[in-house]
Amino acid sequence: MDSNHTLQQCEALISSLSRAPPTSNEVQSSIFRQALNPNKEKNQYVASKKELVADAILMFLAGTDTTAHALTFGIWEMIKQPKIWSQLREEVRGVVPNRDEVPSLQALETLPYLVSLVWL
Amino acid sequence: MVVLSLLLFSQILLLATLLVAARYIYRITFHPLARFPGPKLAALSNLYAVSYDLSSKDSLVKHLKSLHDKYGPIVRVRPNELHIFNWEAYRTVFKQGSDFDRPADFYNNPEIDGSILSTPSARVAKPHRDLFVNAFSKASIGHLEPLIHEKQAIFIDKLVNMAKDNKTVDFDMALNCLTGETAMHYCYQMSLGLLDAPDFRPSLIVDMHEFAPIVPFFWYFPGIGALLNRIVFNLPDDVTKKYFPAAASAKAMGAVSHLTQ
Repeated sequence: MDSNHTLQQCEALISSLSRAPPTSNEVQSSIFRQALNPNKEKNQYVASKKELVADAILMFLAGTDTTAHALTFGIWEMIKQPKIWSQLREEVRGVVPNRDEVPSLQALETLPYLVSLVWL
Repeated sequence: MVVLSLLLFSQILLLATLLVAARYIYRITFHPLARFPGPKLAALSNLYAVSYDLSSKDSLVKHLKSLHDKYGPIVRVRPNELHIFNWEAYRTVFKQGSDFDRPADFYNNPEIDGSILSTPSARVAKPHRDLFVNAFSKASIGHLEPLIHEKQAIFIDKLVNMAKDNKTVDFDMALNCLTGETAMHYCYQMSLGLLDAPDFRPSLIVDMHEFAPIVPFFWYFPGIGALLNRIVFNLPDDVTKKYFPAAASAKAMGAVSHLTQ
C-alpha cells in the first residue's frame, strides 16, 4: 500500500467520522469520540479538522516506531545476553503450561522478572 | 575604490566573527545551562553532536553512556540540551504539569502541524490532549488485549513460516509492522495490511525507514532542509520517487497537511 494513500486515509477518516452521527458505533468506538463531540459546558477544547488530522497521523507515527524500537532493543539485548533470555523463558513458561496458549496480560503482570525487564 | 570595498569587506568579516565569538562566550558564561558539566565543544556548538549524528554508522546516543560515566548523571550534550540519566531529574522534567516546554523546532514536522505534540507548552496543550485521555486510559487499553492477541498470532505465524524457509528476519521492520498494524486498528478500526506484506516489507514501513537516516540532517540544518524540501517537493512525483525515495515518503505525508489547509 502506498504511504501517500495511507496518510490521506487519515484525512478521509476524520471527514467520515465528523459526518457520522455522534451516537453511531463508528464514532463511539473511535479514539476521536470525545474530540469530535467536545462538551462545551465543561469548556472542553474544540479542535479544528486540521488539528484532528494531524493528531491522527501523530497517533500512527507515535504508536508504531516507539514500541517497535523498544521491542527490537529488548530482543537484541537478550540475544547478546542469553542468561536473561533463559531466565525470562523459564519464568514465562510457568504461566503458559500449553505451548499454543497465549497467556493473559493479568497473568503476565504477576511475573516480576518480565515486568522489571519491560520497565527497564 | 578596491581598497575601500576591501576595507568594508574586512569590517563585515570582523563583525561577523565578533558576533559568533560573543555567542560562544555567552554559551559558556551566562547561558542558563552553562553550569552543567559536559565536553567543552558540546557547550559551544552543535558541531559536537553533528560529528556523531551525521555519520551513517555512528550516533550521539551511542556515546551517552561514556559521557555519563565521565561527567555524571546530567550532561550538557548540545548548547541548548542536557541529557539526563537520573530518575529524580527525569521526573522533574517529564512529570505531568511540568513547566519544561518541548523544543518547538524539534516537533515542527509539517505533517503533524497542529497536533497535540506540536504545541510546546504542556499547559497550553492540555485541553487538546485531554480529549484523548479516555481513549488511552488503563481501562481502555485493557480492552485491547484480544486485538493484540489477534495481531500477534498473525505475526508469530509469519515468523515461523519465514524460519521454515530459512529466511532472515529484519526484526525492526517486522515489529514495526506489528505495532503499526495494532495502533492503526485500535485508533481507526482499519487494517493497513502491514502484516500481510511479503517478508515484513510493506512500502509504508520501508518508506519510514528510508526517511529516518536523513532526519538528523533536518534537526541540525533546518534552513537548508527547508530549501531542499522546497526543491525536491516541487519535482514531479515519479522523479522524486526514483531519485529521492525518502523524500517521496515525506512528501506523501506532507500532502495531507496541504489538503487540509
